[in-house]
Amino acid sequence: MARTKQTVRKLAPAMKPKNNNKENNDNKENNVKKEKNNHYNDQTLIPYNFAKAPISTIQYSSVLNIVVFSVGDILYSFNLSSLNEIAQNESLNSVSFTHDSSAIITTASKVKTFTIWKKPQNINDKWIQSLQVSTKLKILSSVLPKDNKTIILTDKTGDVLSYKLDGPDNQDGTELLGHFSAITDTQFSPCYNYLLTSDRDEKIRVSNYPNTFDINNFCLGHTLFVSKFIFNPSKPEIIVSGSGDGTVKVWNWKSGEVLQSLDLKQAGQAVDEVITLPLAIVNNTLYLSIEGKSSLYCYKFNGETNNLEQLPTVDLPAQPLSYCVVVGSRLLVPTITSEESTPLLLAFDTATNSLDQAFVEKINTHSFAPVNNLQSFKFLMKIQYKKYLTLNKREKADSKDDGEDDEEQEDEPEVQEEVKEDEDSKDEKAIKLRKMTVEGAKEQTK
Amino acid sequence: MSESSTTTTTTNSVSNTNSNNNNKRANSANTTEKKKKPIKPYHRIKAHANPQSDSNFDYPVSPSCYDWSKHYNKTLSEQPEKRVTIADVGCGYGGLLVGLASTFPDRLALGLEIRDKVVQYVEDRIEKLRKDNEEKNQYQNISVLKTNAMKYLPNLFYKGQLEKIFFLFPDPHFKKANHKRRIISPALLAEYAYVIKVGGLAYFISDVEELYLWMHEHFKGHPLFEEVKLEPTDDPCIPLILNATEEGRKVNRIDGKKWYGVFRRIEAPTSNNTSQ
Repeated sequence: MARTKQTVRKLAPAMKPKNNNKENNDNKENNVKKEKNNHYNDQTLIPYNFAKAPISTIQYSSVLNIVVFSVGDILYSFNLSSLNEIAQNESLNSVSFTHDSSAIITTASKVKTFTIWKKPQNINDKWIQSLQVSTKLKILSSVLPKDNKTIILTDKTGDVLSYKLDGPDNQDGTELLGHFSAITDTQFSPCYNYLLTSDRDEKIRVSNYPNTFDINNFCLGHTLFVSKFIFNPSKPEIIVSGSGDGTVKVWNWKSGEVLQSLDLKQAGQAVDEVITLPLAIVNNTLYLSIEGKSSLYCYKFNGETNNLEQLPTVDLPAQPLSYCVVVGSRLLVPTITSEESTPLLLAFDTATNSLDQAFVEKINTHSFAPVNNLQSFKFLMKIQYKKYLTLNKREKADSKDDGEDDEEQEDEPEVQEEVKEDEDSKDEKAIKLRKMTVEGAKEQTK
Repeated sequence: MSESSTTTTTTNSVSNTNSNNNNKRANSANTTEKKKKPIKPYHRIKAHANPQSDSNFDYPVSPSCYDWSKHYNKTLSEQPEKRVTIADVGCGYGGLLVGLASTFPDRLALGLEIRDKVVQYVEDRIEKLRKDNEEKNQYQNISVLKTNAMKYLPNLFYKGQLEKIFFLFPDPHFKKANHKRRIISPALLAEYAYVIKVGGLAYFISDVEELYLWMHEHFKGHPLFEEVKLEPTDDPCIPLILNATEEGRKVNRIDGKKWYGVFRRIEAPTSNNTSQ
């Protein structure tokens, strides 16, 4: 059953945030240089073009009954009837409510900070910034443990660290755990006693919390990167994970056992062509999307056997992004805004199994402040997953000019070259190499 | 320059096979070609490999999917339930494995190595040893696997499967930027703790003091490991890690210093979930 690792890995570190930082549209010379380094500037590899800024992060608080989302650098709240600007921060990439909804915490990957915003008296006013902490991390995502004293940040390079919420404003963080490859998703179990992390190396790791040094188990079964995983709210022992291998797997995450594996590839499709993205489980129904497709796939958990049974697929007016929120019976899914007319947000009513765009009309008709540099939205690519496949193809093509200032990714082509050598040249090479060793050196001096 | 008894046996066995081989070659010129003794220089490559690069590795989706019979065909045909309980991470040219084969004849030991050519050499070496000791049925309990131990240990071993794990003369990765590639780090120790059973031992040794201190500090700082002070006479593995490996002997030749440490995997503290 052993498989050869496809060369589909090699990853994200190649994304050079340095370039993003300097992004400066009018300097053409710079841009040309950048294009050489920045994988995202290669149009052929970017599966998404944004005609307008998409919703880059979204959260819902059932306590306050508001949806908070960001467009551009501005954070908005939607109290289901009106839309308000509540905060502004550069390059927001995640937002979360504290458990009592008394504050929100935003993270900014580019500037490596997280910010705490306190709830104002009137919920429609601007939220009050109480603390901004600079970390040394290129933050990928954040989760909050139950204690309301710390925040757990996932770094792009595969580390998970915890930071104190009560300052100081410059912290080093405590390392909780690390993967030897990039982490794609981090989440707490519903009981908050376990921290689950999935990575590009096909694993989902279940660590005890707060004793994260103690690994409970691994969920092994995917054959390409794990894209993300979601919990079944009505069955806390179950997670559903998506992957680049085209399957969706249902796990008992505590035992690491695969309960069911659904293959969404059509006949004849290669493994790396279908990336499954589970979005949410509402009322024992799994909603998932496939990257690049404007459809919502629905599966019902059979009450007895826990097996998934397919329901009719729903066509969507746009491609969904990989994250969404559940508001009551509705699923709010941000979209890839490839055209000016694309709605920012889709509302899908799971009760009627149909789109309910009237619910989010206020958002879709609101004229948001224009975002000048859509290029900066390429950071959304970090949330979508095609990069894990496309980057690799790119790397093969220009492996020569790779590695100038690339700390993570130096290749070791020498080893492979040597393997290819013919038999004849072997002898010569061997003697040469021998001189470089201790005994070889001795022989030579004799 | 004190060579331990085990080391001498190893060297003996190697030289024995040498002479055997010569005799056989002289005797049977037209019979099927005998396997030649693998020559190390042919397999010598640079000492460093980048564990972060994605080479092609054969690895199972999960431990239950791996067919170990290609490694321990003979042993497993007799005892199919037997599992690998000793792992040598970064086994290099296999000196320790050969020593382990006779020290722990009833255990299965596996060497993990990332460098392709070195793996080929060790494969050849073990094959040769098995052939030469066929009647004594020796060396059936050791094998080597080309893999990246930093990534795929959980794919190979079940939780708590290993009794002993060795990190002998690992790549020091002196540059600070490369410290993440060191074989011992807090993140990786969690994975090692996962594959080692409670009570199992982890051995490490280095001729680089800085690296030894690094490894010692990290093992010491990990809540699932406690230090065990062992003298060479206390444990048959200590003379082996000191003198059985090629690196160890190289250090002997230049009269270099070696530092080693042994840590025991202990029970996890009862999860005091303060969050509950």
